Amino acid sequence: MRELDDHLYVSKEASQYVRNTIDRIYLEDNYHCCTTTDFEVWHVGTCCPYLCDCSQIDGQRQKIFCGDFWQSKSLRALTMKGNDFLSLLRQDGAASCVLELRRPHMVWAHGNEIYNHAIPEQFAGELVRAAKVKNLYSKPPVLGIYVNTKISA
Amino acid sequence: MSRVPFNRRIAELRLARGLSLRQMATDLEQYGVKVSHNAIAKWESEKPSGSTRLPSKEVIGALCKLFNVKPSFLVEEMFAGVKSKSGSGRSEKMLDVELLTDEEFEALLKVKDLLIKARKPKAGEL
Repeated sequence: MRELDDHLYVSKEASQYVRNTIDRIYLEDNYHCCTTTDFEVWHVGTCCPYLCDCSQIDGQRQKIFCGDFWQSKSLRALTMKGNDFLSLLRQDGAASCVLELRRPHMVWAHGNEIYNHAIPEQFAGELVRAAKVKNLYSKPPVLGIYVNTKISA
Repeated sequence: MSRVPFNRRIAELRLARGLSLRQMATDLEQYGVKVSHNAIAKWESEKPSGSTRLPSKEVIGALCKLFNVKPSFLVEEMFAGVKSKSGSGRSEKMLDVELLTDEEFEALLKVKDLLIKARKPKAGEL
């Protein structure tokens, strides 16, 4: 991993993963998760469903759902401190970042639509590092973010 | 090689197809989106900040169909400025082959084959 010309280089495979995920988003390979005041939240492909069992999480403290997270302006503001994602979204109409939920997720937004995909383990390290360098990384101060009532992200 | 911003990418694709702004607006209608030639001119113009505001997701889909390219090819500028580590950035540069017609692409492949045939192995290579 090295930084050249103000750009952090990631592996070709990780870069391809990002491209493929974006192609999947625009080719409608998504499922709808929830609607909040400001956003429609989607997940890409089979991201998240049934990968985690909520019952295995330590108690129920700090348990929130995708909708709670994107609905809560204060939690969003707290989480996105030092992350340029939302300001870039306002400025450019689209933006991406890495959100570390229980696992690192690639987040892509276009307009008021937010798309999530759990980053495969083999790319997580380098994409998290790259996102941190670019001020596009956040870890919400919660134990986990859950999708619907059964599924956790 | 830096990522090609959306505004430049759209202008390149349009010019490579020899389309005027009005023709492109008409062609996009075939893919279910109505945009004016003024809107396309706006996409192609760069803001003073150097950034470009993306059109809607539906328009991105229509542009992909019109130019036969993948969405990531159009919006690569938004990938958090992260570049692929691919030596000299060759794979990034090769993305531009999508601008070529089939005939031009065939011609490029022939040149590549000729170069490879004419290539002498470097020291240490088999």
